[in-house]
Amino acid sequence: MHDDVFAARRGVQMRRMLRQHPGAALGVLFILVLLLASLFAPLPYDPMGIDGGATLRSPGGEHWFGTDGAGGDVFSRVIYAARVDLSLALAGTVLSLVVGVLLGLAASSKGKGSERLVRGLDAFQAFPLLILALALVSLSGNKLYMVVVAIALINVPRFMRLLRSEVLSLRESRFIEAATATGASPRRIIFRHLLPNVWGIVLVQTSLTVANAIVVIASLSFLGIGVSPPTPSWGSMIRDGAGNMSSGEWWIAGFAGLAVVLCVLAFNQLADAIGDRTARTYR
Amino acid sequence: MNAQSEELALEVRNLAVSIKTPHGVVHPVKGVDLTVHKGEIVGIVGESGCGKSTTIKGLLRLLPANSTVTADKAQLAGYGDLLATPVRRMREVRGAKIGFVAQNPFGSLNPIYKIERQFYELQKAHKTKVSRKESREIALRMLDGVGIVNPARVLDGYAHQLSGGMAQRVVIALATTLSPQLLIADEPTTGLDATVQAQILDLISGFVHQEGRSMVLVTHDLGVIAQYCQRVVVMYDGQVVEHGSVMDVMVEPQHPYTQRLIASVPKPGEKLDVSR
Amino acid sequence: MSLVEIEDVHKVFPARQRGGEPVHALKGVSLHVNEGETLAVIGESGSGKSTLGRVALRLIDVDSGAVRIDGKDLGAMDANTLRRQRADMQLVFQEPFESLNPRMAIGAIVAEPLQIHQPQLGTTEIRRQVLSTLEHVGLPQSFADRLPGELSGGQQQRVGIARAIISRPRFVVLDEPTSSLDLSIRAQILALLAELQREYSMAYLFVSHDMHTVEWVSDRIAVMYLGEIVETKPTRELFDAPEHPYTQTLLSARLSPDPREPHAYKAFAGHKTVRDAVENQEPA
Repeated sequence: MHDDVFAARRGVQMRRMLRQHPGAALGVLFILVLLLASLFAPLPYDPMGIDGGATLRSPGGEHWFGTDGAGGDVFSRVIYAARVDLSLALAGTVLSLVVGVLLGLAASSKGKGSERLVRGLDAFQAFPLLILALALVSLSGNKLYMVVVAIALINVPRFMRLLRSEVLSLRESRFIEAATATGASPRRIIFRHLLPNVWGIVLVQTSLTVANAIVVIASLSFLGIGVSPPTPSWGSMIRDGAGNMSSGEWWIAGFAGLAVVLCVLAFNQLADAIGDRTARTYR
Repeated sequence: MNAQSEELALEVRNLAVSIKTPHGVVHPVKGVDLTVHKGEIVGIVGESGCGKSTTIKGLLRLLPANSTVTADKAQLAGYGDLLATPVRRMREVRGAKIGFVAQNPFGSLNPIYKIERQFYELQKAHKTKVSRKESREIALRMLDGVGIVNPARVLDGYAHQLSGGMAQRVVIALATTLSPQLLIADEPTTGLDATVQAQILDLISGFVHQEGRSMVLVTHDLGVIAQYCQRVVVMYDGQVVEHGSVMDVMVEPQHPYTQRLIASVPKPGEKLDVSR
Repeated sequence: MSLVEIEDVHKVFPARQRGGEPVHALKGVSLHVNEGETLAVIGESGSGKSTLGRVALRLIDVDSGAVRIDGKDLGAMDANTLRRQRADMQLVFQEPFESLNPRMAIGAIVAEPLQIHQPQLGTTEIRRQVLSTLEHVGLPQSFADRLPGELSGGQQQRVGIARAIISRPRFVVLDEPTSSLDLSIRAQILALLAELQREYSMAYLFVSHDMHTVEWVSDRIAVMYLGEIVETKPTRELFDAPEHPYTQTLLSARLSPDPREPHAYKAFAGHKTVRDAVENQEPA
């Protein structure tokens, strides 16, 4: 579709956006470092390993973030958890994005089909979706791909509604009428005119969805669903560490919780920056 | 047509407006002189961004707080210096001394009050005693005077129930209720149909010429200037480039900008002047 | 045979709000546009003139009646045939900025009709034609890489015109193309449109509410009033001897910029606008 004979210069946009929003830049940097470290960095200890002789050590030179009740190194486990937690969150977001955008487009066309789709959506959203997701994952026997499906279940309706409302208002605009008058096919109108104009707001929603997915995954594994031990995940670490909190060993749940908070903050910052940029350039 | 006297209604010398913005201070109006005699309509004409609207909004102190208005003189006959008046006291001037008609009538009417109440509030604000009944009678008379066929129904309705032309008639009725000696109208007919425009302008100019009142009429429409004004001020880039009687300026413009402006009105059988 | 023929077209829009009245926008409108001429449609707000412009391009389907270009009935065409036909009939809008995709480079906007209708030309040739068309409408070639928001209103309208003429249509609907522009810019755009028409012998349907513009630009004029055409005449004749009372009213409201030519507005009995009709209803 991109047989552009002319394109506006916009290569510097991403860089300028990050410069104007240091929070977002810091967030992106944090996520990248965390992800790369979880995938490639040599960790000080085996994240799955246990050491009966070194349980519940407090943070220090030997164990930066201390150790948990089984003697696992909290630092190694927190970093390693990003591998599963972030990948699942990103995969779930991509699935939500693709399905949500396609269904949203379908729901914004004219005709009976789209009306039915919207009705269906209303009915579907009447369910408590988080509980539905929970049931789905545990019934499947804790299959990881079901976590991805669960995230999509919660977020597809949001993408759908967003896309539908944006596209419906765009369809009334003069430049869409101009494209029709020029003889553009419906396909061309969608890909050349509608989608590029909703892209900014879809990206904002995508970033927010990653943040939401991280929380959902943490909630699931906090309840013992989804990622199962010994594979570390932030949610299960928070649960394990919760019992130690009362006796003063804060670092297990503390550092895992911090990882969740920082990731969510990073993606929210990114969403803000994208939203700001979209609004400023084109309105 | 030549009912105007040598007596001054409004004299403005060297009016300037500056506005503070995040990108620095801008000067949309850079020293404008404006003289209005009793009994005449003075037009201010120019293209968008020339400062014509800002000039009169500055005079009426209707600009936002980040703007500064200065002038050597802004003398309103029968009142005093407008710029020496504190902004909060200007409400008393507008309405009683100066009637103001803005481009968008719906911006001037309160959407949540009935039209009748707006007449009442106006009179109450400027006179000490007026009963609801007296106010309604005056309002009925005023609306009748601006050519509204069923004034009672308009009074009992809200602004959003009116068309643009009708709403502008109501605003004119409001602006003239307290018989101000000076009327200021900012693009009062822009966006209205040609037939409605003619009716409204006939109405306003009738009010002005009745009792030796005067008016400042801001417009971008040369036809409005030629047909309704006696004198004209041509503005460009915050300054007056030419002023004089309409007969002189519109028939034999001296300044190149005025010449170009007049030449860009399409006339049948003639080539358009599109030189820049 | 005329290039464009509109025959007894009716169009009713359903009520906007529940309980509102449906709007009878066109009530049996017939007109024709000859090859290479400018037919102006003049009327006030709510007269149906913009609807008529869109009906002429079948951007709006009619309830009854026919629209033909070159003798071919637009209403009988399937979607693909109609899209191919659009190379030959184009539209220029009243709102220059809103009519341009804010995310597309100017060059890409102007290239679109060629990409749709003559993709076989290839990128290099399309590029060449886009640049020469930009120059033709008075824009520097360097504008091809800019976004619409970076241009002034007059420049945006030139882009809209470039897009409309690049596929060499024989029929262009101009929907109030100059009414949102300043006087001197307006003159430039009108002059450009006249020049392009001479060069490519396009027929214009020029929708407007401005009598000065219409008098200058058109060969013939159709006067619309509440969804009907009340009078169609060669321009000179219409201005010299308006027959219908509404036409007379409209002409009497024309304000000459020459103070030596005074006007005398003359209302005609029963003059109504669509909004007036709404106002005269009893309040619910």
